[in-house]
Amino acid sequence: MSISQHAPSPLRRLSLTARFSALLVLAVVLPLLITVVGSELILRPTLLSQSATEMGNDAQVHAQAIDSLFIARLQNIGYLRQFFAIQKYLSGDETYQLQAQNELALGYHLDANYSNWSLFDPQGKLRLSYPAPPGARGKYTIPPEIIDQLHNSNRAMSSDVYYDDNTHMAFVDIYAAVTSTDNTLLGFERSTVKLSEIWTAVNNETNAVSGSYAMILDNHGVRIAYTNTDTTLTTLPQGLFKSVAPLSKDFQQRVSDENLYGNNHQPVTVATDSTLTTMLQDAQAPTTFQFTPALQNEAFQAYRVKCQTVPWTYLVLRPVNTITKAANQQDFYLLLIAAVITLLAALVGLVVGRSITRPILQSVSSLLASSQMLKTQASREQVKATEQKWIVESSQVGLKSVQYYTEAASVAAHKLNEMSGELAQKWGALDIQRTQQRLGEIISTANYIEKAISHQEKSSKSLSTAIRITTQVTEQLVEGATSANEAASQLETVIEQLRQVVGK
Amino acid sequence: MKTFVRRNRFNTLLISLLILSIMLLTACDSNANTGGNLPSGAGGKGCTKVGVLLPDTNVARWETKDHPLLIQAIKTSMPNVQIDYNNAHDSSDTQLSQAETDLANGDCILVVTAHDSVAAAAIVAKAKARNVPVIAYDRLIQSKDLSYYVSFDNVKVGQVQGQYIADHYQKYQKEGAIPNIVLISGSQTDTNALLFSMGMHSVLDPMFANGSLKYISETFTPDWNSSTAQAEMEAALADQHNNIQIAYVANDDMAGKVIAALKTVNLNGKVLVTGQDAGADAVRNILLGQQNMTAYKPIAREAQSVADLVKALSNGSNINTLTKGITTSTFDGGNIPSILDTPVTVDRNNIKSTVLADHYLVKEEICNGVPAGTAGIC
Repeated sequence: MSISQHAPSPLRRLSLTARFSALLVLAVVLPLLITVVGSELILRPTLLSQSATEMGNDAQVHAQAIDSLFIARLQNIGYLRQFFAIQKYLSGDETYQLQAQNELALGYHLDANYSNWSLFDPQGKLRLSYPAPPGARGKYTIPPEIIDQLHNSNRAMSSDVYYDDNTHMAFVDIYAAVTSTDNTLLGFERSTVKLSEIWTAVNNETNAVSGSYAMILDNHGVRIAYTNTDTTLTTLPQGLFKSVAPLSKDFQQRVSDENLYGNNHQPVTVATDSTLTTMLQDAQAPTTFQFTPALQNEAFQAYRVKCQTVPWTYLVLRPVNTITKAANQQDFYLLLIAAVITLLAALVGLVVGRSITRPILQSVSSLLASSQMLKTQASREQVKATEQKWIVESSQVGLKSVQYYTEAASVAAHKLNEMSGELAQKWGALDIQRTQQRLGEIISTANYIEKAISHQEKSSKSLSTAIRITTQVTEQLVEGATSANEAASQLETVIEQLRQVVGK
Repeated sequence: MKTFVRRNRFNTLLISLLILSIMLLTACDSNANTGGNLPSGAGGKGCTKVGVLLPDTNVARWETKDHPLLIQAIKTSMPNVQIDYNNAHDSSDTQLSQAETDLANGDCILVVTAHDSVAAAAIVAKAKARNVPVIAYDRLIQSKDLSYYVSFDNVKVGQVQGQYIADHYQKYQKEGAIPNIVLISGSQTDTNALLFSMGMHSVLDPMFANGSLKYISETFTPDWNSSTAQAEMEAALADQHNNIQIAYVANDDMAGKVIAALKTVNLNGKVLVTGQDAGADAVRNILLGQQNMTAYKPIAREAQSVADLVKALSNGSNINTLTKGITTSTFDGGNIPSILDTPVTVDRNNIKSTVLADHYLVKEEICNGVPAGTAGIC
């Protein structure tokens, strides 16, 4: 079995508690992050789309309401011009004057937005009116351009927008030619319609979403209705009767001559808006778009609908940030929740991680202690073994010394034997000097043997000591082995504990 | 190596989970913008599903006459037809919503009596988008896209009413004084109301001008509400100190309430009262001498005109043979091919030969509370 050595991964450098906590945080926060991503990918575009749909519906409803209003008003004049007394009176029969006036009154009471009904001769001279003679339209009773159109068309038609200084209200005139049964032009009928309902609808646009507003542009690019933020309605809105681009000279002249848009009261000025100018010029322009309108400082989402009965465009505008507010809020709350949950998950992870790692750490401490003990024991045993080795080596040296002296004593004894035998055989044949010499050698050898035995005795004593020490060391080694065995048992216990923690 | 593989698997699982979550989130929203593909009406050709939309229950005729007669006439002409019937209960929004439901259900011809002649243009627009023809029944819808218009000649209805007054006003003249006349017209949002008024004025205006009649007032009655009509009559009586001899009332329901107002000042039977629709109560009032006339529009004939038109559209037949080139103008320059039937004056002298002969009404309906032998009918 080989144990491979790996470089520890960065994760492994973290404690189990930290890793457990991090995983828990990840498990909790991941769905929330997915939701935030989903919000960005789906909710935000959906909100913009929903808002565009809402604004579209809103603009459609208002444009349809304007169309309904004008259809009804055009229908009113279309039928009233056929009433018998009106035709007879305009044909010159004065006996019908009272009834013609009654029929003008009838028309007047058909709708609360009527402010005047009048009859004119074919030259545009006023013949009859209800409830009071109408005011002039600038220099004219009826603008000549309208008289021309009425001479050439049998259809009812509406004028550009006027402004009444007295009632502080915009109005339009609706004209229809009155003809006899043989199609002779008898004169004109005119109803004057206040735009109060339309202005109210435009003012109410602020109720839709905070900061939202609406406006109506006529075919000349003049804002003929504009949301009034002054709830007392004592002042006119800033954008009212301002054109989106400079007016042509001809039309400026008409504005002046006919006192359109209350020009004599407050001259029509320009609040340039290139986006709206382009929109008016391009029939294929998108119905919904984003831009920063004139007189505003932030981006708005706009939806436009063209009216069918009058050449007007109804625009609903909402600040882009209010549209995405819900998504922003949701993201904020999700991130807040994610942060809180992350904190909680981290805390829970730490607590749970600690409760899991505590027994492991305890086991690790036990292992460490056992390891330390084993290490100490091993070093002790190493010392003992070194000692024992040294003693054994000493004993070997002692033993060699004993063997040496034993061999030396043996050689000396053999030599002594030889010299004794020679002396005994040659006793008499030897001169004294030679005999003395031999005796001297015998004495030296005997002395040598005595010394060798003495050395042998010393070596034996040393060996005895070494054997005693070796016995003691062996006892200590046995004791060390017992300790190691105990430490191994302890390790087994720790391993068992770790297995219980891990669950295997 | 094993560690790498394990980690790779974990990453794949994580990415899969992310994609799955996003798909789930997307799926949650996927139904939000699903627009149903509504069926095309094919211009009514081959159509066997017809939507019938009536305006309200205020006026009795819609539920008691038009509803059953229309269903019967269309089913008789086309036995395999399926009819979706709705009443708008006096609401333009309800009527639009009902029309949208009919279109969504695959109705391929719509027969509509508009609650509001202008607002109903939205129904026409929605139907046109699906190539479904709309037949305006009894009330013109102000849209050039309207397919057909079936009604009575409404100017003639007013003329018939006015002519009755012109023919009988002298009976109500007191000691040579000019009779005072109050005009109670219909709803100003109903095109017909102005046409009735126009027709009536074409007859009576000369009499106002020459002093035969004295015009007191004319009021239009929102939603043809009969209680409002009663209030209008009470106001006129109070204003004129009960000196009123003639009450032009545009329809029978309002006439009934005007008679109620007259009763409170004991003038019932003493004031000439007109009406329209030949309702059972109105005919009973005629028999009792409290109402003088009603403009009878044989609804069965009008319903049959609708049935003929529906059948011709379904068969792809030539419609001109039915409309005979007659058109009605809308405000926006439309000329709508029209079938215009003629109204009939009904008074106590011709009840038997008109409403009873047509089985429009039966004796039991009109004779309840009427003295036996009255007009040789009860």
